[in-house]
Amino acid sequence: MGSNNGQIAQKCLWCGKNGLIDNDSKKSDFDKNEFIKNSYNPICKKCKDNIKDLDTFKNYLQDSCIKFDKLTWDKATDDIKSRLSKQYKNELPDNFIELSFNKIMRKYFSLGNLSGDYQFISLKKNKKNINNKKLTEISEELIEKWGEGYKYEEYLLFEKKYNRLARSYKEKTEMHSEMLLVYIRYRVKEEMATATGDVREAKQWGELASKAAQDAKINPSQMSKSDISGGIDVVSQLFEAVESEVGIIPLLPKLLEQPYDDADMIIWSLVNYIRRLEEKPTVTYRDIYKFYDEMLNEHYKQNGYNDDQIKEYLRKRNNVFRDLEEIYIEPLYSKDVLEEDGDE
Amino acid sequence: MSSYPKYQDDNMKHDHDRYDVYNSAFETPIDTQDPKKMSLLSNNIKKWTEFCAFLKWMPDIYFDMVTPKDGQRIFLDLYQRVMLRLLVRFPQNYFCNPRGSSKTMIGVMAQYFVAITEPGITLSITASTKEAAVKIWKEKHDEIIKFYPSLKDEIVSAQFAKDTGKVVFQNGSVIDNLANAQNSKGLRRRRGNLEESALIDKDLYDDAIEPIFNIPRTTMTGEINPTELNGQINRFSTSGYKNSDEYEKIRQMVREMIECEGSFVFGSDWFIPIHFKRQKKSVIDKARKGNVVRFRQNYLLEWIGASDGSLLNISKLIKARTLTKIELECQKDKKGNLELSEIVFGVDVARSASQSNNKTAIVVLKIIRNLKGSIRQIQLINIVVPPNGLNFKEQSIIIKKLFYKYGGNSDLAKSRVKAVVIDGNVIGRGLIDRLLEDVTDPDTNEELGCWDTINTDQKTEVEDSPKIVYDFTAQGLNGDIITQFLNYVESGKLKLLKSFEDVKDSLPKNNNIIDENEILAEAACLNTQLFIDEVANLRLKKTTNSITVECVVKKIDKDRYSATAYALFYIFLFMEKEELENIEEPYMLSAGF
Repeated sequence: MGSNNGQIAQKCLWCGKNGLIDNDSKKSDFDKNEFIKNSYNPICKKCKDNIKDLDTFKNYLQDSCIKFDKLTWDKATDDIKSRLSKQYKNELPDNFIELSFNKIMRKYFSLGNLSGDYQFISLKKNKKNINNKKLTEISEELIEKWGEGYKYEEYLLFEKKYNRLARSYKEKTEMHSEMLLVYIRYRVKEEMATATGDVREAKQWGELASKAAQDAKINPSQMSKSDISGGIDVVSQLFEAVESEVGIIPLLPKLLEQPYDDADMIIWSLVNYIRRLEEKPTVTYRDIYKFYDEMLNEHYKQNGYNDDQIKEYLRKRNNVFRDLEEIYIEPLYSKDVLEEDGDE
Repeated sequence: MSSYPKYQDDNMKHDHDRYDVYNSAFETPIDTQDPKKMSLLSNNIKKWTEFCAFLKWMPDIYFDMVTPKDGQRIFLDLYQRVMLRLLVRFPQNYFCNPRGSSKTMIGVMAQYFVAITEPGITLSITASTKEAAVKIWKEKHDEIIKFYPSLKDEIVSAQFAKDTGKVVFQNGSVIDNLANAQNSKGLRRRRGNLEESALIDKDLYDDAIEPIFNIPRTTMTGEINPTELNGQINRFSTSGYKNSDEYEKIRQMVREMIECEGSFVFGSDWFIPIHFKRQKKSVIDKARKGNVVRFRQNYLLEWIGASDGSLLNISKLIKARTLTKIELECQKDKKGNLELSEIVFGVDVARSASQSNNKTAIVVLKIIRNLKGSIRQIQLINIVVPPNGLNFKEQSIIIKKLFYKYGGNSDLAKSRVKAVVIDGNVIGRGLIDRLLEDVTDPDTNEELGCWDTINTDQKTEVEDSPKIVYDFTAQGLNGDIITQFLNYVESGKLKLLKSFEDVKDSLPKNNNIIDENEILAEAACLNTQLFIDEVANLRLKKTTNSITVECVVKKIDKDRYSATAYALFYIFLFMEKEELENIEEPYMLSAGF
């Protein structure tokens, strides 16, 4: 955006063509009044004239990243109806969007309805808009989290920033969480001040924010490796975290049941080889690890579990693997083959 | 069906260049897109647990995962994979592998892996002394970090000092070093590796080492996992002696392995390192020409010695290896006076079966008495084996020089060496004849004097020479000699030198690059080991009239044993009696009151 002899160059959001905003409304490609009042609406006159039906209007909103809300829309149409002559009380004229486009936009689809990450950083108007907005749909939860006395947009921006930062910030204690909230308040205030062009205020907020960032250890230079990676960056920490979550990491049933690769086959063969030397029958792969079952049995005995308790313990122990209980045994290791081997 | 390439999915086939974003095989099973829950971990806990359980069972696959793509790296061989897996799956393992089969390396790697996968576990690496343990471990640690650089991130701190080593992991696991000795008593660890376990005796093991690993680990949530291998002890060793406790242990473990009771014995001879190109065949061939016992133990992995009718349980001799101070000459006090000690030399002159020359062994026994004069210890402080091919005169010069070195004196009252016991049978007769002659040291022109025998009337070159030589004739006494030898060993009175690795640090440091004393000290330790080998190779042979010993393997001599046995018998006959006379007097006096 640049200025030349009182003219401002502006790109139309809708058709993408560059035009001028001029004091002379005839020469101007944009509706100047509307442009100043609704900074979010950089749309040229030509395009504006094209918006005649609801679908085009919705498309326009979508391109401007403004949310189309049915309730708001109903409210807007009701309002327009009430202002029109009795003739149109029941049915709106076909070109009502074209006629009252500016009004609808200004009153019902203004900044508060912005959706997504789209943010306008624009003229002084912005500040006015925010201040004028009343605190309406803020939940108790949010107020409790951020404290009272903020404006609707502020709560929104706080929450948005929090969601983004909290993901990568490992909140070790309540103190850490508290410091993060403090930081976010200052930082959002700073951003808002920057947006409105209030340098002095922005600087003050910025100082407070950077102090809070230091206290909360948010600066990238202060972060340890594990902070950056979200707490787990090496295998040992993964095992620690998983164990903290499930208590006991059980044995994987499918690995006990059949050999996984050559190395497992060798272990199996070694046991069978030495058994053959003693003229004993070969064992199944599961039998090699039957001492784990004995370990469990010893545990039950020591704790005096009855059958139900044993079942309950096993269920709890293999809780994470419930879906894996049914094991697919490959035909290669099926019983018939084993028996044939044994006979040989 | 993962082993059939035809049925493998792309995930198995490609381990790099996995850029095809539309290939579902490359997709991570972890759901990262759930906005409701912040924690990726609890969101996918089942998958993570399965992954952890899988890795815990497959340590070699973990090491494959952390192998760098390029640069210096190693690839695990199949037998190493088997070893690693056994180490994390079985509560008791015995690895009886030859030199150069990376036993220690795999042992340390498995320890590191367990430390990573079991948060907060305490592990230990043990060897005969703490120093030896650190030395082995430090070397392997550096190697592992070099080949698997990402393990550096798992480790918070790694400290190695002269006799202590400690590695702390990110999850709070700790590995440190312990000695296979009494001073490790009372310490607690969860699992441990015993290096050179063939040298550990049962008493020490039961008393000090096994209880170390008795207490189970608690998990992060404070539970005890009943299937965790708490108390796991892994033994790494080359083979030892048949008539030892460790032999019984490995046999018992083989029985347990047959019954699938959680023990695993993994052994091999030199074929494995050669097959996997870890060693050159020429090394094996060279070793084959060297010491028979060493080759059989280190490369053929045979448990040597007599399995039945053996002379004694060799663990007793191994246990007797407690001397750390090597005395290459008579000790002196601060003023330079010789220490008041009693020393007896034992000399056996034998015709070696493996080498066609006379082979002589000289053992130096030092007697330690208590205040009342009874013998408490007999320390075998040195064994000298003169080089082959020396004639009797040269051998006699060596004996006489050794005599003066250990405080011998022609005035018998002043002499610290009380007697030189020589086997005076057919061959030994020649040496005795030479000892009874006047002789000059050809190197220093020092007069070494002429000796007389204590118990025979043999004529000497110079009359009234000091009576030092005891002409020992073993015929008819074999039974008694064996009994007394066993008596001194079983009662723990006979003490032997430790291995050179263990005593090296206690030697006085000399700046000379080649220190003669160090070489002599090493020879003394080596000869002590050979002495044990010889005893292990002996079997009792009973005839109608007498009892004697014979070699199981004929190639192994028994001259060190004979020299020791004769000297011990001499001590029993003549030096034990002294105390009786000494004790008698005060006893009689007190009886008079």
